[in-house]
Amino acid sequence: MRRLGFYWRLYRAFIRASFVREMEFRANFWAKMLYNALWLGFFLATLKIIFRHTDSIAGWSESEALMLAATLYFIDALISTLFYFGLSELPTLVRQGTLDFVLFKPVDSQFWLSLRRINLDQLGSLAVAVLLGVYALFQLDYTPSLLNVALYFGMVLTGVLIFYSFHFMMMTLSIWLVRVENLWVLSDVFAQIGRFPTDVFDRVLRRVFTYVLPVAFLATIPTQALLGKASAGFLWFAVVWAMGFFVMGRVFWKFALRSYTSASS
Amino acid sequence: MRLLSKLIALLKIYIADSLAYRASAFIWMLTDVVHCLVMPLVWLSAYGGRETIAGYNPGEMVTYYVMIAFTTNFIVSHLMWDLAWEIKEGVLSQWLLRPVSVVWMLFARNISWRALRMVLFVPVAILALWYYSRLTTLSPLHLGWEFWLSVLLGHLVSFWVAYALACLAFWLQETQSVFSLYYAPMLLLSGWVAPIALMPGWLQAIAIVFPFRYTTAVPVEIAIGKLQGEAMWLEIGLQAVWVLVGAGLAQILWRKGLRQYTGVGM
Repeated sequence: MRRLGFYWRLYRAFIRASFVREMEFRANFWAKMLYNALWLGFFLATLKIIFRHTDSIAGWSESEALMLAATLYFIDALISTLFYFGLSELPTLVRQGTLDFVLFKPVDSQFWLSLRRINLDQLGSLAVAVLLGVYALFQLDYTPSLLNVALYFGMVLTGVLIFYSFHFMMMTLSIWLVRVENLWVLSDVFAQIGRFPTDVFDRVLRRVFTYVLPVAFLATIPTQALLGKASAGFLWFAVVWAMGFFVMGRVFWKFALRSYTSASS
Repeated sequence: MRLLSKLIALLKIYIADSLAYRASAFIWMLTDVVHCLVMPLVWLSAYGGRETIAGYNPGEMVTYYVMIAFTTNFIVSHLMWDLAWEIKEGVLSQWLLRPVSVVWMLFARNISWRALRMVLFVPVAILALWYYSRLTTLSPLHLGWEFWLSVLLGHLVSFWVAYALACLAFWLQETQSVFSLYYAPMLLLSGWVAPIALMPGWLQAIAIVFPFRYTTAVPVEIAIGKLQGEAMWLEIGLQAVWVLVGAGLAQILWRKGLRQYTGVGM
């Protein structure tokens, strides 16, 4: 319990430090807000272009696809707020040998690497994502039951956990692939697949993107849960898979550290 | 001839250099791989028994995305990220002292990397076409010399635009966010997201006045046979015009910028 209290205090210190940092670069803060808005506009434009020419893709209407987009944007904003940018620095730490200082600290290295950077410029995106989701539900003329809303946020959390573990594993690869500077692209590609309902794929690929590379859990399955189209058994499976993925990430990190040779020494 | 031998020497250096980063090249390529896997499947599920969407039959649609991913790998330059950093950090100083102009050096460096990316993408394109050939009848490919000319011109348009953009680093402290903002309109108007014919009229009108359409959209429309004869030559001509405009703009900005340049780290 004392350990838990220690980590909670540490996390609060991370939040404080991130807030101070953000205030130092205020112009950059607004630029990033604009950037986030532009990318949302870009993806909505893509959807608009598609639905100008059709009523549905793989059984998803425009409003349902919009709900899916809002979900992905929401998850993306959560990810970017909580851990994406901190974790993405791991390859640089490995290349410069400064990972040593992290390993020396009397703190769990995964905790430090994952949660040190809280990105506040994403809070605006979170609000926009919620508004977009509410708008999509109005369009659908659908009021989800309380149970479905609860399932939805539960599934969003499993989606975040799955993306987190995937990103952590990709960043961990830098222990071996020291010279590869763009490992983060692998995680972006992972999310890129999830931007459309996984129902567009054929049976084989759909299975791959559900069970092997669980992209379906990012946006497709949470949205299905909200719309009351997901089966209960499958949702339990999602929880188990997410936890399994998390354990896998941690084991992989411990394993990778055994090969870490430190660039500087 | 002196220039030619210098250029060949530069190409040798930068091809070797690019090969050293082939793992990175492979990872960057995955973005295009996913794009040409997801988008055609999204569209194929949208036809619902219809013959065409905005004049594109399923085969043309699929081939369009495979070709846009293929050409993007060669054509679209991102040199502003490195160049802006090199201007900021003063790396540029040592290049200015070399007996070869910076433009040729950048051109050689950029085209070596793009060529590697294109070669890496060939097996993916073949695999993708094979996969889609089981789902629909592919459109015949028109890969004559007109196509390759258009690809080369498209590359030059992208090269000069990226070059001009990099010059902002002479004046601006922070260029990263500007460069990021560049990508959304670029990807939309270059035909990467969808064939321009599928966009609403006002967006098509905007696409005509920006250079992006003349990077990848034109060669791909030639490749799938949407642009032929006089219309094709008109578009290739416009590409050439954009090469000249881009080159002029980049050169003006570069000269002005060099006068500003303080050579950090000298």
